[in-house]
Amino acid sequence: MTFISTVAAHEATGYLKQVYDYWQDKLGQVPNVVKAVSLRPESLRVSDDFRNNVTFGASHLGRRREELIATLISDLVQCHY
Amino acid sequence: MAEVLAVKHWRDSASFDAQDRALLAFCEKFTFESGFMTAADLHSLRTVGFSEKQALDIVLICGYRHYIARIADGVGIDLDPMMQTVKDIVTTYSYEHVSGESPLAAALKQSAGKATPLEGTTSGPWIATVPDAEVDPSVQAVYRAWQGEFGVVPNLLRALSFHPKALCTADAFRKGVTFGGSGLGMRRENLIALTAADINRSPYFLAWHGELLRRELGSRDAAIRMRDWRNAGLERAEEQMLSFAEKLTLDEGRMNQDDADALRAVGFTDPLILDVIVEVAYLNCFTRIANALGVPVDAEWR
Repeated sequence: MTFISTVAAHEATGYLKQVYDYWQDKLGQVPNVVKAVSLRPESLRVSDDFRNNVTFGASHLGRRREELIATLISDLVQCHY
Repeated sequence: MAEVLAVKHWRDSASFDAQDRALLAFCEKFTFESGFMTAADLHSLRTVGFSEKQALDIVLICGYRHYIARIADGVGIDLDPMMQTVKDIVTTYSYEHVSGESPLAAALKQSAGKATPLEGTTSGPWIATVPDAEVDPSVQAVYRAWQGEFGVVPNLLRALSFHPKALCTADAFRKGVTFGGSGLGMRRENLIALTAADINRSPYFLAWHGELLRRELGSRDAAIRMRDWRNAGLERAEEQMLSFAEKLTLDEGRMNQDDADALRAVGFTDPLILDVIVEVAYLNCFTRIANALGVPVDAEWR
């Protein structure tokens, strides 16, 4: 249960619906971190664009090292997700 | 799975080579004391064989991870069902605050009063950049827009110039969530930004958002007073907002329903609470990026 409301799948429209549909098709579920910013789809779009150009295979480091960074920083800031 | 667990104790693990270790050490310093990073930290990546582009990638990914972690903890999301294979391990991580404060808060306390390497510096950044006349056309368009609106090309963007797509999407990210892009308004966006820049010891962002706050408040003294926001005579809603921003910056693992409810109690709607979370997360990403790349304060705001 999140601390603020999020947009349910059946209520998503426009860009948000496209994103939800993409993840549902790809993973069979919409990750909670996507739903987290669903009240502001524009922030999702611009942050995803940045993310897609710096990590998740977009870097010159390879996925293993990208995930080393992700895992350690998540632990250091105490983020279970 | 063993390697996932090994990351937590990487110094004692045989799973990591010299490049991995340099990378992980950089991540730690980026997290706890980005304001005290120097050119030597970036060079430590080159020394073990990372290229200039890889070094820039490392900084940007570290920054992004500080953004997305704060989104997760600020909103309070549960683990996804697909994380089941690691769930039992992850949820056994007990993040006890041994000294009664978070590791980030403890690190901040230790560095209190110390001057940072970037304060007063005019040289930099510490990463290779593309001369303005040679940048990619997409970057030229971003620079022209900045010149048109603010009369300046930010040094932070120049620091990203060897990665045009990162530069352009970083600028779009900025416009989408801050600089008036949120529902908070410029005053509140800049109060949050000033607070986060102060905590993360970022002269670059202190200068920018101090200047933007000066324009909002009408005087330099009024903007400077906001660095001591608890004693600046702010209305309750803004004090609560900055208290939330401080906690999300320093102790995100302990964010809870009460924090969001405290903002609701002073008039924040859920979309505005999300705007605060996104603003804080964005600043925790880019203050650290500016620090780690050694970006000097733009001449116009010194």
